[in-house]
Amino acid sequence: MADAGNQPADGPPTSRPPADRSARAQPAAPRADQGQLAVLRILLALTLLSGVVDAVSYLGLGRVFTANMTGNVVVLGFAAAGAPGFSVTASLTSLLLFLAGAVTGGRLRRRMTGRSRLLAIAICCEAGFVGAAAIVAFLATSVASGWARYTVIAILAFAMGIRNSVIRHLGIPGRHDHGPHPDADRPGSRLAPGGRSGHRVRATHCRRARDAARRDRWRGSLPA
Amino acid sequence: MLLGAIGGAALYLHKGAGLPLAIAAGLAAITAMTLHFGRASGFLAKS
Repeated sequence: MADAGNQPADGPPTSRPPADRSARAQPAAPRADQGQLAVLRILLALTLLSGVVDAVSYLGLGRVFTANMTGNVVVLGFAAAGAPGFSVTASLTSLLLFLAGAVTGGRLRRRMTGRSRLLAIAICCEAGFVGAAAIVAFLATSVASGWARYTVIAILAFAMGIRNSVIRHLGIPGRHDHGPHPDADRPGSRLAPGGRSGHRVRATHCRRARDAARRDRWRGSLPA
Repeated sequence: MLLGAIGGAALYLHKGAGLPLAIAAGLAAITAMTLHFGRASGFLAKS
């Protein structure tokens, strides 16, 4: 017996209404590619890592964010208003080094063509920088003040800037919200040699259209 | 991110700043190796 929501067996195969495409049980629905799931796992791991880095930086480095620049701008506002416990210098250090990391990420992505290799190198850089910050934290007596505090803030913010710039370039949906704005790392990336200016605006529009098409394809192939 | 913040905060409160950062570095290295040797590499290359 045919199910009430399905087409009968003798019906035309191409007459299925578009609303039926959202059901997972339909045989015509596209199955999630293993590669997409692998990318999602990698992005989840990176998001988890951002949470660890932000927890350590906020609790241990004196109320400053190094991965979440939206929060860091808010903290900078608190510090500028004179709220106790917040530091303008530390927040500005994090913001500026994040910008420097975005510039470096922009340089990196203009020198490399392979998306996979670019992301792998960005994550390797991140691992190296976070490991260096861990070594500084182990060696210093306290990371809450002094040179160790600003060194760890600078290293972590730089690493997060590189990562956010590269992932923003890859156009993977849902992974561009760590900056103050989704386009926040673009000014930093434009500072890199060959950055967007003048004749590059048209190429930017083409890239945005390509990113939108990729995003639609991505959403269409995920399981409901 | 919430889980990472909880884990990072708990580790920081008990062990200091070095251990959670070292774990984060190890996680990033494992992620990079997973990306390089896994299926995500091929997907990113063709997408």
